[in-house]
Amino acid sequence: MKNRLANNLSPALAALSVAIFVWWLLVVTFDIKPYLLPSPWSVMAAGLDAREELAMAVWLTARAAVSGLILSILVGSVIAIVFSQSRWIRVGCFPYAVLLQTVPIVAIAPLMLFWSGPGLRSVILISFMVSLFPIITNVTAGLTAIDPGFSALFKLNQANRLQRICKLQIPHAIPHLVTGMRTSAGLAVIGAIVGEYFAGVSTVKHGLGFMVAQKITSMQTDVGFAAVVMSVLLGAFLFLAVGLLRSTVLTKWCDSRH
Amino acid sequence: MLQVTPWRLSIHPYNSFPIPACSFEPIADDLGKVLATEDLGTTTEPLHPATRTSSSDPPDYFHLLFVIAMSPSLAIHATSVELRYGKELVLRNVNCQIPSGSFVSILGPSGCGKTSLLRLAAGLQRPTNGQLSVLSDSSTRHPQVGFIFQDPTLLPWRNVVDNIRLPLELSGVAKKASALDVDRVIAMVGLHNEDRKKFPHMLSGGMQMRVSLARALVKQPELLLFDEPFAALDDLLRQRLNEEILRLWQQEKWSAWFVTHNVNEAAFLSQRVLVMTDRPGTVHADIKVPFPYPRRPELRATPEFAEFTGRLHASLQEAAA
Repeated sequence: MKNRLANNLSPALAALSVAIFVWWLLVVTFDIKPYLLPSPWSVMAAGLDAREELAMAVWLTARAAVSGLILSILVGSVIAIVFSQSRWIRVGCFPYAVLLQTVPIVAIAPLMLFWSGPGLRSVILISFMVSLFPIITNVTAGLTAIDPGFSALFKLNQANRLQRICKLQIPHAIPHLVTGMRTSAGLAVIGAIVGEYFAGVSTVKHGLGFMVAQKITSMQTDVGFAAVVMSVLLGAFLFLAVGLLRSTVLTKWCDSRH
Repeated sequence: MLQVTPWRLSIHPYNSFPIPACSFEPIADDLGKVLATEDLGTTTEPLHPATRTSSSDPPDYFHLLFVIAMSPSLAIHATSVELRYGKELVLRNVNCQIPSGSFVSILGPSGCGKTSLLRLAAGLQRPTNGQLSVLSDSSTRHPQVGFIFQDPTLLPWRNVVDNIRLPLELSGVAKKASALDVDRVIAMVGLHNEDRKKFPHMLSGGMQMRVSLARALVKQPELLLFDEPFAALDDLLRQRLNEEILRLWQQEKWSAWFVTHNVNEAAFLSQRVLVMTDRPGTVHADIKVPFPYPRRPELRATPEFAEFTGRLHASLQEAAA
């Protein structure tokens, strides 16, 4: 296990080191002004200086993103269960679910702000909207793409619709839900940051989205960059957390099927 | 015209009475005794050709009672069964009678409709035309039919015990009440105690098939339908499982309908072999297997067995021609 982790992590760390080196080389070679592109070391130093503000911002963004993700898992799963019960509903409603994916979030974020006011609620709502679609598509696929042998087994044993949903379709959809969660986890962070950009108004307590916008417009590019790095790390952390959930709690579903 | 009706016709297939007033009852979504029947306009005719009576002749009731009393109880009775998928004819004019407690194999080339015939018997499909009755003499309201699929079809999120318990669970039997039944079949199919909590991906192909067999046996079925269950296993394992199936059949006395394309397997297991033609499939030959039970593994090495399987091969080739 440790060896496998080291084997997977080493190339990624090597690539990151090369990227940081190229970044530094570009700044030094072309003598780029720090307010345009700060060097990796100044970003690190600025991040350390503003660590309290950054920590608070990470916490607020993580809270909004996780809340949006949980909401999208719950609502998306319920929508998928409804979709799975009738082909007519699925065919009739799915094109409208696709709208969630195609409508630019930047365009509707101000509308959300208008409807539910500035603050955490709007940020969660935007994060939820962005991360909902992968859950709906993956869970619907998991609920409907049942092996004909399993369907025959349940039919032979005169299972009713509720038994079929609870004992066959939902357990069958769990690995698909986890796959959807992996995509949605990253999207939830993006949604929260976009939401904060529009709705995270407080200057005392604000998330990473607001912090990036505020620092870059006030020429504190290095702190802004540190906030961007923290957003990336937050997205990666959520992605890994879902992966961990998959490989531990859901081993019995996932190992035998994927 | 023959058509499937959503009603169960409560008549015996051997019934030789003219049926002036058939009684109908709504068919539940279960394995009905009569899965399809002729439309109402034709039900006044006797269903079995041998017992057809003319409406002008008075029925000989003593003879009829004798016929009914002497009729063997049937696990499966197919009369002129036809099945179409869209315009394609899959089964044509299938007629056969499988007495209760017997072991009958269906042998035929791939794609001849063997599995479709089995699915009709299981109630998973209905014939386009004709009649197929299953366990029509069963004393229970819902006769138990077990089905063993080509693949083990085990739910990957359930361990061995929970997979075996599934049919009882779906019938509303509580976990505690089903424990004895589960223990009984686990011992019966030769699973070990340490396998009980294992998930399907932790088991070998043979073990998975044993779990599938245990699941089919847990509700004490009167009829077991086997759909080429050992096709994916190696020959040695297949032979061993064949021997165990025979042991269980002799011990438990269920009726068995075993679909296979393996001539040796059909000859070793069954009392009779129905050889089917190419698609659209029908019964080409009904061959009695001359070997007494219990059958020992050594039987496979005897010249008589080789001669008999040769006969089956010849019949199979004749049917495919």
